[in-house]
Amino acid sequence: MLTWMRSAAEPPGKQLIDSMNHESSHGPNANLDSLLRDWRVDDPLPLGFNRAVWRRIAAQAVPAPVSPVAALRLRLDRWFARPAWSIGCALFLVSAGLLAGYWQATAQTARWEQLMASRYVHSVDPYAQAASAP
Amino acid sequence: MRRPLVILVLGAILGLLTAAATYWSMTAHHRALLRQEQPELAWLRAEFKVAPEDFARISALHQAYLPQCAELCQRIASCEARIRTLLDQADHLTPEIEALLLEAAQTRVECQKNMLEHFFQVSRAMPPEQGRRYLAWVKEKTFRMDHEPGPPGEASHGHQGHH
Repeated sequence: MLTWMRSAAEPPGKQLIDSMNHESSHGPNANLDSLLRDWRVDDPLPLGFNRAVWRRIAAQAVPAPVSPVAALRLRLDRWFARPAWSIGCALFLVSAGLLAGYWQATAQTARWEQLMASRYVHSVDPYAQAASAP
Repeated sequence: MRRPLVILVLGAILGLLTAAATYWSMTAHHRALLRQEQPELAWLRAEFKVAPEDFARISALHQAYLPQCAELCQRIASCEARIRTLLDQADHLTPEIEALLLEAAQTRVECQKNMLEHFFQVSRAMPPEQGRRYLAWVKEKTFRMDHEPGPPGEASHGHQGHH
């Protein structure tokens, strides 16, 4: 953009520098402020200017090739930088632990109940005892 | 990379601790039952909500029944062994086999009478509702016939299944 500005009929940059050089002993900030305030660009933008600018930005923004591991690290870093994500992840792991414990305990208590019921039946049933006798 | 790793490891540790705590607390009652001297009676007490005074009676009935049960078990085993030996050698029905079959049948009747007597006594020692539930359960477990298969994985043995 500066290149384009300098190409205007009255280059504002030159005017600005001249002004700063001239007014340096009288307080350059006041003159600079007034000059910046009065600075108007009336020339129309060249055809396709916006598109050209975005194309240049896009060309420079093409990421350098990174390894999958580095990409994963970067992604994880970004995810876990968010507190909501970190808390959600921890809550998920705790919930998974709760469910796993509940499921295991339910299955184990059912097995134990069946075992104790069988032992009771075995203790009162002579035929069951005779069948299991060596 | 350090922060995600720390969060994941801490979350995993917390998850494992939660799983262990849940399992530990949910199985505490059953583990206590299994540590009892007679876990099957402790289970009966818990399953049929038997009051302490009733449980003392049920325990006494159970202890009194065990010797009869053991004696019947011996008789059944001996009878079955003799029948098997005779059947291995016989090529026709002998009076000895017939006598042993009769003895086996009589033992079976005696066994079933004793069991039923015991089950009725135990059920009467329970609160009425629980007593009915106990009777239904124990009869289903011990008097199941061959043509009434139990649910898969059933651990008990119907009398008919042994012949």
